Amino acid sequence: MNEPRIGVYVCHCGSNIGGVVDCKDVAEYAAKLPNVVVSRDYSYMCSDPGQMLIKDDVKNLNLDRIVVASCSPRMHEPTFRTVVEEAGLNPYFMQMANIREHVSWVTNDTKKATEKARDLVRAAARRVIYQEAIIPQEIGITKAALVIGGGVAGIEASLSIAKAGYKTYLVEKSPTIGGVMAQLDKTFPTLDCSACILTPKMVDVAREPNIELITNAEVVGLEGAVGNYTVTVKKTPRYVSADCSGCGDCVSACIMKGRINNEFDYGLAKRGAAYIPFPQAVPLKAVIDQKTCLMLKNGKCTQACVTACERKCIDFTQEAEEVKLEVGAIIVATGFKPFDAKRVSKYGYGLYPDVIDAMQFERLTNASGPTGGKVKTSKGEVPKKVAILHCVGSRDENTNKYCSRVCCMYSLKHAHLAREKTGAEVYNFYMDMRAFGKGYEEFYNRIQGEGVTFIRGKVAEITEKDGQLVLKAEDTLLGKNMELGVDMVVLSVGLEPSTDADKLSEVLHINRTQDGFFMEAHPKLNPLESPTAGIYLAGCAQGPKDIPDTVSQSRGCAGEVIKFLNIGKVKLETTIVITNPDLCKGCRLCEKLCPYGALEFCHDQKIMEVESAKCKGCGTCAAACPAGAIKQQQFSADQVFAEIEALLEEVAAV
Amino acid sequence: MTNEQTIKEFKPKLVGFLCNWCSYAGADLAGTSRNHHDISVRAIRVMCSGRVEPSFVIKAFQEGADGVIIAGCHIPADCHYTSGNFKALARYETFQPLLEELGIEKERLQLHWISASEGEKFGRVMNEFGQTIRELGPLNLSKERKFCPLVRGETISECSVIRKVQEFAACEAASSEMVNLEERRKWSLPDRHMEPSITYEPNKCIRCGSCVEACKAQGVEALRMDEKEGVILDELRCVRCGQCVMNCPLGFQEKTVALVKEWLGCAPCPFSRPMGAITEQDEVADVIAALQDPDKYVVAQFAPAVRATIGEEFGAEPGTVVTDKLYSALKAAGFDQVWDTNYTADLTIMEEGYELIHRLGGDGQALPQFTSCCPAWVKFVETYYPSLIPNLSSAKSPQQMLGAVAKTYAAAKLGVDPEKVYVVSMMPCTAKKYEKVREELTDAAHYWEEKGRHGHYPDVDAVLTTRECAKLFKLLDIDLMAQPDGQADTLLGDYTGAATIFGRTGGVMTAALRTAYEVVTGEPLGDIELAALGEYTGVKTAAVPVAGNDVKVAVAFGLKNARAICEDILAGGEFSKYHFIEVMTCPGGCVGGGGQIITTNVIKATARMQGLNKDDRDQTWRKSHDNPEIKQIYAEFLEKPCGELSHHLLHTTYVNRGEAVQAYEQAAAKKD
Repeated sequence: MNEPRIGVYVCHCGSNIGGVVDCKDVAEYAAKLPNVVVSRDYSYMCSDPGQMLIKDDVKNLNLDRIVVASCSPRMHEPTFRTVVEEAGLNPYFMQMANIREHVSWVTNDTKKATEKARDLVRAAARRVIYQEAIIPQEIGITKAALVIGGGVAGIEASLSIAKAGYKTYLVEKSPTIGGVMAQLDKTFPTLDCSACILTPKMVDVAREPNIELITNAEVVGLEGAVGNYTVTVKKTPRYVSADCSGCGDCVSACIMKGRINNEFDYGLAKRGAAYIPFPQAVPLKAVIDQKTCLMLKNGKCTQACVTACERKCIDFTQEAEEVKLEVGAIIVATGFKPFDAKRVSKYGYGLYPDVIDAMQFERLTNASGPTGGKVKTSKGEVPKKVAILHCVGSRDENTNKYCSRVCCMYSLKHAHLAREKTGAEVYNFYMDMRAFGKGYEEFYNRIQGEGVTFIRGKVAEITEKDGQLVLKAEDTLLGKNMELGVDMVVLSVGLEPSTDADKLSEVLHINRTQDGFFMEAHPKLNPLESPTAGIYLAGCAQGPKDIPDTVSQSRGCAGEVIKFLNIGKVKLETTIVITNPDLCKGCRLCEKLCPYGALEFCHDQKIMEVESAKCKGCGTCAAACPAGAIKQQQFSADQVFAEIEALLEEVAAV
Repeated sequence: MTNEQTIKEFKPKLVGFLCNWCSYAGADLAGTSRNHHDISVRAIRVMCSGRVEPSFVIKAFQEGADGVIIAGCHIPADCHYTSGNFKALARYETFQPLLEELGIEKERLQLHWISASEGEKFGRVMNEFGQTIRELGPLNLSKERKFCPLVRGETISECSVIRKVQEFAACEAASSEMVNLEERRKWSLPDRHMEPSITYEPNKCIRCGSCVEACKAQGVEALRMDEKEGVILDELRCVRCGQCVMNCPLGFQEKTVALVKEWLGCAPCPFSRPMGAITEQDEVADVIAALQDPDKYVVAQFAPAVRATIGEEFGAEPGTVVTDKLYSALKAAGFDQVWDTNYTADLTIMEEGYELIHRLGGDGQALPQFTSCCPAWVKFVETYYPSLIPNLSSAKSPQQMLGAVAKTYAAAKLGVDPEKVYVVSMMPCTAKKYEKVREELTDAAHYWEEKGRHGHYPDVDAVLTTRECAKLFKLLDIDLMAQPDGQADTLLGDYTGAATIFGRTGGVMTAALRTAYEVVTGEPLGDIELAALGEYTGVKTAAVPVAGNDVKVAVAFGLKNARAICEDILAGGEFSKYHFIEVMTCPGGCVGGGGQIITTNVIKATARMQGLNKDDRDQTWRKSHDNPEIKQIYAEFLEKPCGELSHHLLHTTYVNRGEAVQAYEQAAAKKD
């Protein structure tokens, strides 16, 4: 290598730096440093004339390394990299010394500030010698997307991506898409019918040629990295062939009919082993439940369904299969599961038949539900007094500490529906009323005006007395204890991570926050993406949210995915690590340190290899390697050592 | 430093490592919000606090920092890279015992969580840190080296300071969920040994499984990992190659340990080498005792590869050949005779080369002939391919030949009681420790027995690895690189270029061909370097035309390759048609031996190979049969290669160990 030729540029930033630091002195000092060919100070280095100064010097003085002493690299590093690149050098042959944010803006002491500026410039001028040319790698991507979960989040995301012209796989665990929204009656605060707005979207999914809908299926494996993922999907057999027209003859014929709890109705209605989840299911095809079908379980049955099916669709020989999908990006829209109210035993859920949870209430009020929309107690009577308990399984040290964000509003909706359908006295027990969304506070005001009694306090216990449910609570606004007898209690259960969130987080290598929901890359500036590039989070998979927020996030994710697929290639980080096969001893200490699984053990050669596309460039592995076999680009040990050495070289003496 | 004035005048040198996303941004925010604070800290930006490796901190202290601060994103969840902050925390905690041991106030190294929104906190932390260091005063490592266990007068087998540096590897293993450090502290499992070569400390082990993998890579699989018990050793399967030792990360923390040694001035200390959890059985004490025993006539020999390696322990570049300095150093250590295993490498070529000529001539012995210099390879054949034992050259290894002739020929010539001769070998090898205690290798004693002098003693008494040899010198305060150039003692000291390349892959083969070709054809071999056979490649083959016939030769290193060759021969494949096959167990041959400096890697091994090649080229004689002392021993003592006396002293027999392994494994299978 030829002797490096360094140019040092000290910026005054008007008086921002120049007012405190003696920039002239720093430039003169830098001129005497080893390998420095030219050193200048100038009022605004980032201005056009400032940039020209660098470019001209590179040309005229044959410079090959540049040091800019100015503001934070977090501010103008891209600017000066571009300048250096335009001057014909690799942009990574530039190092900044932060003499504004870290010096001139935090002291008035010119002597100390100038001393520190000298130190920082000296360190930068040493470090820059060790810097290496980097050409960011770019790789092509697979122009297809995977959406996991067929609730409203997954539906919205899939439709957006597919309509933009990209192949989209929508994988749903259950036999139909629709998710929780399909089970709801009305939606707050507008009280429009949930099914009415959702089911047309579900039909769109079925009709959209770019969407390949895979129901009864789960994601069980993931390989590759952003832009080029290979996903393994395990399909559970439906035991009904694709020819099924959804006529329902097998459903009527099934000898288990009416004997199995229908999960769609949260146990309030029964179904058979052959069933259609609900009338608007998509795909509208029957499915045979292998857990309860006598033929599948015991191998013995009259097979009435087979006889009933004119199109000969019943096929007990179907087997589970695994398929591999190639996609560039993934949206996780696996939703939530309602909190299991049995965990708060003091409310007697599961013990008293008239203590029900919010989802059961949804089904009761739903015109297509088991009671045809009539709200009745277990004895079949219209309740005269209904209590609605907020925050069950939310904001609670014993269960979940977080607020589930939707319960206040749906509790108000339930209060309204209970009043409307039964005329009952309704009591809402709340902790704090959270009505933050558009039109929510207005909705709260409206319900208050409908004669609902709001009691600020948490119910301590529910007991039964003379056929009535008795609630013990403290009214914290009045500061007195109270007892209230009611006919029906609705528990406003919170939202919890979906049942398989733990499994999926392992499969996809994406983390979860302490509450168990999937973690976003940045809570504010990147709430759509997981920390793993190319995996996005939509809807309640990322945290509890209402339908508008879910849809916003899904479409946001879809937008990100479309943008990404449009660009068609992916640039790898420039601070990624590279391993030296000659030094690596294959101890594998680094393997699990990597949060992204970017380091893989090569069994043949007994060394570690980096999958560059997975590496995010933190350098943790480089710090850990006992053999010094891992180098982080831009932050190699040599570079940092040079910086340390130069920083501490002189006792500052101005 | 309590005096206010002094505190004021003291300008501490402070370094900060700030993560790009939180703390560096926090520092920037302090700037944009004009939060005036103590600006003594000079910040170095890293992408993540998890990037801050222990050596950064040590380097900063070494370069004169009075304090070091690391700042990153808040735990648990702020880290831009998910969990780098936890790794920074784990390393910070690992630093504490080390700082304490060195007597450095723990406040000099601080770890803080400062988010991008905490400009004010950044300023506060800077003020407090600056104040703390001002009150502590400049960092002066105690001149009396109070931290040093030796200075404290402790008898040690291992340095407690180095041990604490090694804990950084344990820290990473814990972050990788290989080991739970809390539990590890409570372990009290007994040490395990594979006599007389390998020893394993389960309580120190970090359960990374690197040694197990190394053993697998050899195709031997004598080690397996038990999560609780650690590594389970199978003595019968193990060939003692020591590649497990070379791969224990506790032993090879090159950068950190090297920096600490430099910082603390520990490089010359015999105990400053980090010892892995699996390591060789140390014989240094035995050797020192022998040297001090007036009744013993202690002689030294050192292997070809040692001369190209041991300099590294004393600051030389890899591949520096230090033969002449070694002669002087060993003399300085008090050895009565300093001989050279290279001499018997030449002798081996005479015996093994003639044996090959006899086999090629159709004496009824099996072909291909295998080399037998590598004791791990020999045990491998005995254990896994006993049906190929007849293919092994019956010639002893150079180490054993030297032992045998030292206690017969040389002892007689020097007029020394052979029983008092104590042969110490410096070997790049752990298997050599095993070889020296093989029952059949006591031929000197037999020789004298027949002459009416009774006694039971091995041909070789002690084996030191390259590492132990360096330790011996350091214990005796001998700086190898400062030694004048010396000479080997006569009788068993001359060597040719053919001998010195024994230390690298292909060397034995090349040396043998140089002699065999000339013996058969009467002409010298044209291309005496046969460079292609000496490349750093697992398997190499060549066909050398000798008197109208092609002699097909193969050179391999690594027992996985050896296994493939053996299988091929048994299946009647290509290699069964070969005539001569050299096998070395370790990567690159002995330059990568299991007894070499732990930080051996391809780059260093290759440099050592080149060093040996240069040594070959620099020799006056490059063919074993030209060695004048070889000529002398045949003229005065052995008569001729593969003659009767040679047969007794320089050739050996092998043991079928396959049945033992099978029996053991069948018994184990029954138990299960």
